[in-house]
Formats: sequence, C-alpha cells, structure tokens
Amino acid sequence: MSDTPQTLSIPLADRITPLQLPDMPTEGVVNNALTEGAVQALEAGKTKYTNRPGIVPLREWIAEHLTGKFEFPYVPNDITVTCGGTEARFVTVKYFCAAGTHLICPGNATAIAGAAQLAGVEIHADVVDESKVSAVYLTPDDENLDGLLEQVKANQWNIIYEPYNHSPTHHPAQDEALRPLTVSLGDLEPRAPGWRVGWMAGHAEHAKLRSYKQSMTICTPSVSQWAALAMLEAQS
Amino acid sequence: MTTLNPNIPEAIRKVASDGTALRYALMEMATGPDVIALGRGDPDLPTPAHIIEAAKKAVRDGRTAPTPVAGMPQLRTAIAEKLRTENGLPVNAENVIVTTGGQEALYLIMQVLLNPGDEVLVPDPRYTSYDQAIAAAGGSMVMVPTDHEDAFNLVPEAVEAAITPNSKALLIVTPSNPTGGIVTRQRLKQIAEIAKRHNLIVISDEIYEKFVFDGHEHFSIGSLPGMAERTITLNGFSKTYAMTGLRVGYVAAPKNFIDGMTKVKAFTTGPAATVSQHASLAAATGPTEPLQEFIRIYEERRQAMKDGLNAMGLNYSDPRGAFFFWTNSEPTGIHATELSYLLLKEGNVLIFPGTGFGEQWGGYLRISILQDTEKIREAVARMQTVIEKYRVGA
Repeated sequence: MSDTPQTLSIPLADRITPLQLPDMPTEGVVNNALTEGAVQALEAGKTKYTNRPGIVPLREWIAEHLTGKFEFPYVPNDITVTCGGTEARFVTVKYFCAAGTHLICPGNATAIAGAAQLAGVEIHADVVDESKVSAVYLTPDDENLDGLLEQVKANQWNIIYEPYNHSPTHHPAQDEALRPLTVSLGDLEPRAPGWRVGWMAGHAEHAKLRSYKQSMTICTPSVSQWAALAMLEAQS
Repeated sequence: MTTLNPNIPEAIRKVASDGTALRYALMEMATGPDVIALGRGDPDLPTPAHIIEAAKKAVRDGRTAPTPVAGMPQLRTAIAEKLRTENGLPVNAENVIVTTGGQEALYLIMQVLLNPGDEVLVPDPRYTSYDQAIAAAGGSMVMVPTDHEDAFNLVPEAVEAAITPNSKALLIVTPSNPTGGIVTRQRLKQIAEIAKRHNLIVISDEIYEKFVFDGHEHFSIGSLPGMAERTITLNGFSKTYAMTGLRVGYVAAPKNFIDGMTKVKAFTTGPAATVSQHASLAAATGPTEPLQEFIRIYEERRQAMKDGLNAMGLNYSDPRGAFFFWTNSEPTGIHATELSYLLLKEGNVLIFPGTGFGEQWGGYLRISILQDTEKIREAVARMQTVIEKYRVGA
C-alpha cells in the first residue's frame, strides 16, 4: 500500500516531526491486589462502558485521598478518571492553552512537553509576556513560587498541578483564591504500568474538561479502573 | 408536528441543540431500577467466555507491561490478517494502529488528517461524536442528505453535489449509526470513483460490520482498486464482542498516516491498556461461534421490535444493519425530544430522540435492540401507553 495522497495535516506535521516516541517500561508490576481486582472485574462481567467520569468507588477513593493529603475538600464529582496521566495532561493543556500561547513551567517540564508541543503551545520557565500566558504547570519540586502565584491570581491564569508520587506537602488549591483555577493531575502508570489509569481533579470548569476527555475516549477502560481501585485500597 | 415543549426540564432544553450532550443528559436521568434502556449502543450480552479467560490469563501471567504505542505487535498482525481475509484490504501490521476505542480512533484520524478550514462530508443523520472530533481539529462538516425511502443508503450524486474546494474527506458509516442503513457495494463503487476524481480521503467507519441482516452484505470501500491509499478504515472490538468497556478500536491506513497517528497518540493517551489488548487478541483469533450466537439473538430481538412498532403504526427505515431502528415518530405529532422525555418520565423507557443525531431530526427516534426480547416487548407496550396518552389529535 502506498502512502496517502494528501498526507498529514501540515500544521500538525510541523508539530509532531520533532517528537520522539517516549520510552515505555518493558516490565509490568506484580501486585496481587491489582491482579485480583482485574480478575474479579472480568469474572463479574465489568466489560461495559463505565460512567464518563469513571467508576464511583474509584472517584470516591481519589477524592478522599486528595482531601486527606491536602486538607481541603474534594468530592467524587470533582474527579474524572483518565487513560493514564498522559490523557490528563493532554486534555488540560488542550483545553486551557490555545496554540501560540505560553505555558509557564518554572521547574521540570518533561512530563508535559509532548502535550504542549502537540497543542502548539510554547513552554517558558518565566513569564515573558503576560498577555500570552494561558496556564502554569507546577510540580512539588518547584520553589519560590510566591511571585508567580500572585501573577496567577492577578491574571486568573489556570494552574495544572501534578503532585508526583512522593508526598508533596503543598498544593496551590490550598489557597482558596487559587482553588477554582487549579486542576490537579494524577498518574498511576508508575505504579501500575500498562493499565492506563490517571485522573484530573478540581477546577471551576471541571465539567468541560470532562467533556473534552469524553470526546476523546468516552471512558477509561473498565477493568483497569477496578484493578486500580483494588490496588489503591490495598495500599491505603 | 409540535415544537419542543417548554415544560420539559431545563437539563434537556438547554442541551437540545447538542446531540451528544442531549444523549448524555437523558442517560443521566435514566437511573431508576425499572428503566429499560434502549438508548446507548452498549451491547448487553456478556463478553464471550474465551475473551474473558484470555484476559484473566494475561493478568495472572503478569503480561501487563505497556505495549508499543501503536499496539501489541501480535494484535496488529492479527487485525491486519482479518482485514486482508475478510475485508479484502491490502494491509500489513504496519498499516494498523490499536486505539483506546473507536472514539479515540476518530479523534486521532481527524487530528492527523485535517487542516483548519478543511471540510469533511458527513452523511445526515449522523452520530454526533463526529462533530466533536472534526471541530477539535479545526475542520467543519458538510452534510450529505440521505433518505428514508432509500433506506438511508448514501447517494453518489448527493456526495458529489456537496463537494467544495475545501473538501478534504468523506466519512462513510456502514452499517450506519443511527439509521441502520448500509451503503451498498454498487454505491460504494460509484463513490470511490468520485473520491478519486476529487482527490478525497475516505474515512470508512465499519464498527458495526458484523451485524448485517436480511441477506444484505457489508463491503469495505478500501478493497476497491485505487482506494487503499486514500482510505482510512476504522473498526474495533467493542460492539462486535460486547466489550465496550475494554476500549479497543483500530485504524487501518497507509503507513505514513499510521505513523502520524502513533506520534499523536503517544502524547494524548499513550498505548491502549495491555489487558484490553490481550482480550482483543483473543477476540480476533478465537472461535466465531459466540458471534454467530449474538447474531441469532439480535435477529430475534429485531423481530420483536418490528412487531411492536408495526402494531403501534410507527414506520421505520429498513434496518439492514447495526443495532438500531430509525423510527419515524411524526405520526404521534410529538416532537422527538419531548417524546423521548415523556417515554422516560412516564414509561421508564430510555430512547434517544432523532435530535441527538442532528437537530433537524425531530420527527425520528433511534431505538436500540440491546435488551432481551422480553424487555423489548415490555418497552414497546410502555411506549404504546405513553404515545396513546399524548398523541396529538388523539
């Protein structure tokens, strides 16, 4: 079969040409709870669509976990389960950041770089032009954020916060003024590679983020969600 | 025909012009234990046992590590083999990408194919998720009319008439969601010539290919001479094997297109879940008897639905394929959006209005057969009661 006569979309081709496929783990993890959760889900016939936001008990677990960790309230309706952290990152960048705008990443931007590249968004470590900023990407490793967070408040920029799995001690949404602007991402791939479970939590426009996710994949794989729930419950 | 009744709830009225939002709003209302759901295209039948067992074995054996972004090599090979032997497509594994369901396949296709301003020709009525995928890529839709009396077959002359200088692609959905129509081999041959003449890419959504009834056939346009290099074929395991929640679809296309999709997929969702891919491999390579049994069951249900609609005096388009009856509700005198709400509120039957598939289809209902035969009969009886109560002019 020869190539398509009208090949790739030109703007997109410009964006994806520099992208390298990420290195994927070649080993799974052995986790009895994960295994049994998946097997039980399969035996129970949980092979149909789930609710768009994800199964309720998993969203309950995530909401309780975040509430306990950061000491401000999340409810299950604040949570949307995604196909890994990858989908959560792409949905938030795509929804918040128009092509040509700036995503401010004061620290490590590795995780979000591919999504930004695809969306045609420029990553900057510092604010160089306030008028072009569409969102800020923060991680627990970032330091000396006071000045930036004041700019966020003044300009009502959106915050994409990714607390990695090493017990962050702060969360931008602990500041009530920043809470409606902040979406928090989760990614279980490091603990359960290959199962493709992550999440988005919070933000005033969470329903629209959820709708965008639905337009991409409808829902996250059912068996993966039940397996993830079993693993999380066993670990907590 | 009455207009939309202002007494229906705000949750319905405010989303009435957005087909996808309207369908979800109705589903969110349909939560009672007595509701008979004939809305969503989610097969109720159990996923075949050999698929479940294969997935369990993969999990127990620890074969859950992430796969390459484009999919597990043995699954891509099995899909290519299926497409060669069953559909006549000249493809190899490198021409296949495994996606997180058909919806993602559609999203990725549009992302990679369209430039802002490009137009996609779409048969009307349509599954409105196409709207989102096309809009997200900056494209726009141009509707191609289809007709009840023609069983919603695609008309080559109508396709050609809709072409503009901005036309990039033609979407073909056969069998069709929502109409149950199929595009016949003869029409596809004519449409292929049009595509070649106007340098159009054809996106062929064949997700319901296994469910074709009453002697009709499914035919893949990509198998026609000169079409392989301009056809993007979309399919998946969800509908065929009643495993929608495992989220596995696939696309077959020229390698350069698949490579582009793979790069985009790497940073949008990553590879499909590994356990889901093992289940799909079993579906692709396992016995065909479970599928034959599905077809037998659906035929029985179709007959029950036909009997019920005939008894109510409701006319439906010849349902040649898929799970749906595209039913003309104009004789009730009630706008379809309102009628769907009444059927849910008073009859506990969830049926999507035609407006969920294009705003102008207020005289149609899409009724699925994804409940057992007795429930279908019960649903039809409830429909009759509600319709007789509210029929305009009764």
